[in-house]
Amino acid sequence: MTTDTDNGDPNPGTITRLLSNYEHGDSAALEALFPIIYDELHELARRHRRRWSGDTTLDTTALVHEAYLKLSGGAQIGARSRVHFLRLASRVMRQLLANYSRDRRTAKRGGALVHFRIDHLVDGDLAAETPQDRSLVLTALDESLRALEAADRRLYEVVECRFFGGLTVEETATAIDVSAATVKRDWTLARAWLFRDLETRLGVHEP
Amino acid sequence: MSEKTFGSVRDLFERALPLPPSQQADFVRATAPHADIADEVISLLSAYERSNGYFEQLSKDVVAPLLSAMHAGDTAEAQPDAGMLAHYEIIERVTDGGMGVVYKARDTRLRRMVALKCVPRRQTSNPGAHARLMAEARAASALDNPNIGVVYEIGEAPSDGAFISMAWYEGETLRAKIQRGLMPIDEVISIASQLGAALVAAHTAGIIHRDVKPANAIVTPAGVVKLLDFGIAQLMSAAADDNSIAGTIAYMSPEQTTKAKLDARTDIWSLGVVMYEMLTGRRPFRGPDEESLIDAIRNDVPAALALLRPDVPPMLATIVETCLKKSAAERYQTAEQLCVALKEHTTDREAYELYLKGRYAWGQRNRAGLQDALAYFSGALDRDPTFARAHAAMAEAYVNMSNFGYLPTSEALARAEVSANRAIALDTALAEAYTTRGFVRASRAAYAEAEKDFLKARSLNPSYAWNYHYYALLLTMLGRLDEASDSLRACIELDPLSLPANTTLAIVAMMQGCSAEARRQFEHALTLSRDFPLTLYYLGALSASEQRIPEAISLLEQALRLAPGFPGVRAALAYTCRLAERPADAQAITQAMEQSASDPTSVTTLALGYAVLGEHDKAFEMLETVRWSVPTLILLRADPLLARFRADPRYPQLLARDGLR
Repeated sequence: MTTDTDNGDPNPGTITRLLSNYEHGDSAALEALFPIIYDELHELARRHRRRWSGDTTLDTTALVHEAYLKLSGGAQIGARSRVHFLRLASRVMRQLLANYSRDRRTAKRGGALVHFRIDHLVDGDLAAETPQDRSLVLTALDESLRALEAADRRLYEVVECRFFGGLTVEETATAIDVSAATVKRDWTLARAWLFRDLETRLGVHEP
Repeated sequence: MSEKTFGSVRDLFERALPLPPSQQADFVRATAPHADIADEVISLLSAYERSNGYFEQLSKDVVAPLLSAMHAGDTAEAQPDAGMLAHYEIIERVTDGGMGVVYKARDTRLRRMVALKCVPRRQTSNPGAHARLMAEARAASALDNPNIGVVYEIGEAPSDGAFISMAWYEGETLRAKIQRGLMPIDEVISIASQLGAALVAAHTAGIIHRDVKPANAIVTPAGVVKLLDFGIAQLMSAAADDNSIAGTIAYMSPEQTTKAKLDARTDIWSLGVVMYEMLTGRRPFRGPDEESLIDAIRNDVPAALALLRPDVPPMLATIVETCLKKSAAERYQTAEQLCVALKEHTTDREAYELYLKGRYAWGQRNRAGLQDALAYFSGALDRDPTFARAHAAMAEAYVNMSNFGYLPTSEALARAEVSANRAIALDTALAEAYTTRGFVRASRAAYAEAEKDFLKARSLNPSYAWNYHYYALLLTMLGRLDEASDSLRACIELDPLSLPANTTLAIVAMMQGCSAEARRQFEHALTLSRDFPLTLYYLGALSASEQRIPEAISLLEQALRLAPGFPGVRAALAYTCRLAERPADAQAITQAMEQSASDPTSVTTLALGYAVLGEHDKAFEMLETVRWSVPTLILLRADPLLARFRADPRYPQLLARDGLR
């Protein structure tokens, strides 16, 4: 299989083909798609950053969908393939943030650990005010997600789709092949589980 | 956790989730196959309840800013944190949540501090629309009202965006204020009225705010509210992605979530949401994500204010509910109507101020302070005889007069009961009034009715600390010491500095036979105040019973000086002088005790004095006709110097008279 990531943008045809192969069980297609999406998300994030005050309109959902529009080139690739693309992009997004938080952790090794209280974050739009706070929360989130993945793989996958890719309940159901009702229930339980785990990692005091 | 266990956890979690939070734990405990599973499920349910909105926040406040910082090598972010923007010298970044960034900056031309808000401009938005929005923001900046933040300038930034420079106000955002804890009703009304006044001025000028929320209101140290960001919401929403709705959804009106055409009544809705949040500390419409939040705004009826905060006057609750009518036609039609409704409702200001002064005087915790407090409360009631809270405070003050022996018990309690009943008649949701009446009933040996009042008060206002303390006194009287201890801990958690609760916790520990723990707790109470007679007396008595004579004498002398009417204090001192082999002093103090016992209220004091001094016959004879007050009955049961008295065979009969064992 060939991809044209090495010299410039992959063309939409390539993406469509890879997605189709992936859906038909070609795992190599997945390996080829992953870096393409990774680079695209990276690039999009960079471009957003350059806007003068751009971080306020930047979120994972918007990025994932923008990456989709860009990479598919507006081609009609079918609802199912679109969902698979978004599913994959969610995973890439999760990976991107995990790598980032790992790099930050390495860079900060030896520094004092800031005690960050999760209750500052609940209900607060200005809560994590400094980049340090944010890195800390992101690192904890990464660890919690690993723990969730180990505890219940499906719950984890629902979080990946909903939180990192902004997939709707229905899209998530299609992506991981369960019913929408199951996704709703999983999403509820997963949030309870994650919140509690994050609380212990971030050092919350019981009310 | 095994697959099977996780399966039952999941199953129970899902079945319990639709129940009201207060019933979930009972249901789970009754249904779970093992206690471990029940614990796990309850912990998850509680986490779920607390996680409301958290993940959405996480996405906006943590993930999004980090994403954009990712390429800067470090977390240095895109905007200038120092340097110049036009003729403004950036001093520091104030916030970057929500939409746009706010800096504290110095205007280098006019040499004044400003808040500089930077609004991103959407690259694809059409230039005509942008110009129109800028014009609108400029029109709004002409608004001149004491409750509207002054806008100095709206300009185009050199690099693709707009900036707005505003007056810099010292103070805190209403958001921060709400987060610090429940706000007094009076303050809520004052702030709501000022926000209403700001809206009246803007609406009259044809300007809708569209983004009224606590983060947009500054409360200055003098209590003046400044509503910020008039005419900017639209500029901001044009800057946002077309797919997302700009601003904080939680405060949006139903019509605002549908991109319908908006009029001034959308601001009235938002003010209703803000009032609800000020009163209860929580937003009326909540949801784990945008979708369900919008659904809640359109369809949910918020939890009744009276349930969340019983002391919200019904009239005020009605005002908030009217603001939150789904159909704009059913709300107040103008901000002016809302302001009139608020004004009509406001308690007589002067009465309220007298009441606050009374509360403050009470804080002095001595006789003069209490008497001043009573005078202020009765002044407040002269001005406004329907002021339920002042009646309740009056009742509470009388109870304290009785407890410290400043007024004959029967008289004080009779007055307390009259005031408490009047308060309850005026406002059936006043926890304080039930608490006080419970105490009076406990003093009348009507234990079951007393307990009912305390439980009622607790359900009305679970964060009213005092109720836990009085309830603990009843439990202590009844010998239910473990429950008393729990209730005191609940009180201390809410009010860590409470002297009576901290002291009573020590007393209960003493009654449970844990002298060392009791001493530690007494000493903790002494670190809070060295002038609280109850602590001084009991630690003195404990010290005397442990033969720590100099310590006991010093503590009891201080107690006597501060509260000469405190039952048992002279006797304890006389007893300790005897131990110290100072018979002449003991004699003199005993005489003083007998002389001071001239009025009927002192009979108990004298009798307990004799009991301490070992003259049991005299004591039992006098106590036959005595009516116990709560503190003296606790003293009878708790005082370490009365241990021998309690061993007397006549003692159980004495208790049985009041239905106690």
